[in-house]
Amino acid sequence: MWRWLICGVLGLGLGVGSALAVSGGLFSDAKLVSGRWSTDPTVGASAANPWLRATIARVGLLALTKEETVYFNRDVDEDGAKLVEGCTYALEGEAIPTRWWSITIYGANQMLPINTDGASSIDATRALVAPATTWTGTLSATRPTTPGPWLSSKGGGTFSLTIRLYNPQSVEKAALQALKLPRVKKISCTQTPTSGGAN
Amino acid sequence: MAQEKKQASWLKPLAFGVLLAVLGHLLTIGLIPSVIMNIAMTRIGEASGGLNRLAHGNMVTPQNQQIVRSSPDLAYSTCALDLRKGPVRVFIGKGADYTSAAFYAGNTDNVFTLNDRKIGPEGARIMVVSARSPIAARPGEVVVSLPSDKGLLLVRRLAPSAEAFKRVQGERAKDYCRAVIDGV
Repeated sequence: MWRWLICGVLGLGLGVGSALAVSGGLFSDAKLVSGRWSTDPTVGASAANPWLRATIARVGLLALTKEETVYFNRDVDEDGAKLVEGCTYALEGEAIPTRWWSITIYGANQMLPINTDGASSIDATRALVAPATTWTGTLSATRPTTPGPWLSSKGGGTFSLTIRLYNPQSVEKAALQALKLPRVKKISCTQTPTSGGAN
Repeated sequence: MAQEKKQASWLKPLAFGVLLAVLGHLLTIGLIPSVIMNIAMTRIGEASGGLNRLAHGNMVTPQNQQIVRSSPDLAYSTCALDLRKGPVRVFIGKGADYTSAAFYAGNTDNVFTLNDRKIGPEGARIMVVSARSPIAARPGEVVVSLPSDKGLLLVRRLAPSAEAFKRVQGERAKDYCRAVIDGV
């Protein structure tokens, strides 16, 4: 009898635990990659499989369909190392064929890092002031002395970035893969960054 | 011989454990969206003072964020939809910039989204119904049919600055979400 009890409890725990672990990842089964950014085009759609649906419910509830908004995510820099609060990064972007875009920083708990910097996001209206077609900014835990938009990672720990593309010109796979999304290049670190693989 | 008997005595309990693992995994994955959606609806309903009431959120900051992965560049308005007693009427005013009204079913599906490109200068009048609601839409009303009796409306308006947020507050002042039985 005790064998049945042990196997039953372990089995149930494994099943529930694996479901929570799988659904807690940030689009871990992303199907579409553009540089170091990745997305799953079925986000928000009825066609999303149960695992993606559960993941979205936990880490991105109330997402829009790709025709309205495409959400690309990344948690690594251009070299594949995890994005961490202790490092300073240069952001480099250019015009994107979409009606409007914004980049937002989220901590490991999927919430905005707690700070009072007022710099949790950068959007197209602030980064790309006409007639400019390219922009550079800074991602760091302290306010930079250089001009340009700033994304504060203060309180972010190991964090991720999401870029929202509202009403993109095309949602075809090839068009999304060809997008030139902002690059995130490490400049310096005040602590040893956590190494990580490709996203 | 004794060794074989001992191994055999573990086989059925192990198979039982594997079966429970698979069932537990699938059941949890299947339940997560509706459980989380119910929690979100309860919170939004409480914040709005009840179901079928539109609540306008403040500018999102790290200090007041209510939901995972919200955007500080958007002004959000929410309404927890309850269609058990009949349809719900929604009005969304025309915005100067990006505006969308997204309707979600109880299983988190985004069943319909209307953005400002399809909203005329007079605003958008929408009737939300469930599969068993009687449809009595007025001329010019957009009918949104949810596959469930409960759902959520999330209105997003572009507001990346304090000035833009102030403008949006005026734009959304006449927006509403009301049960038809309450009279509109």
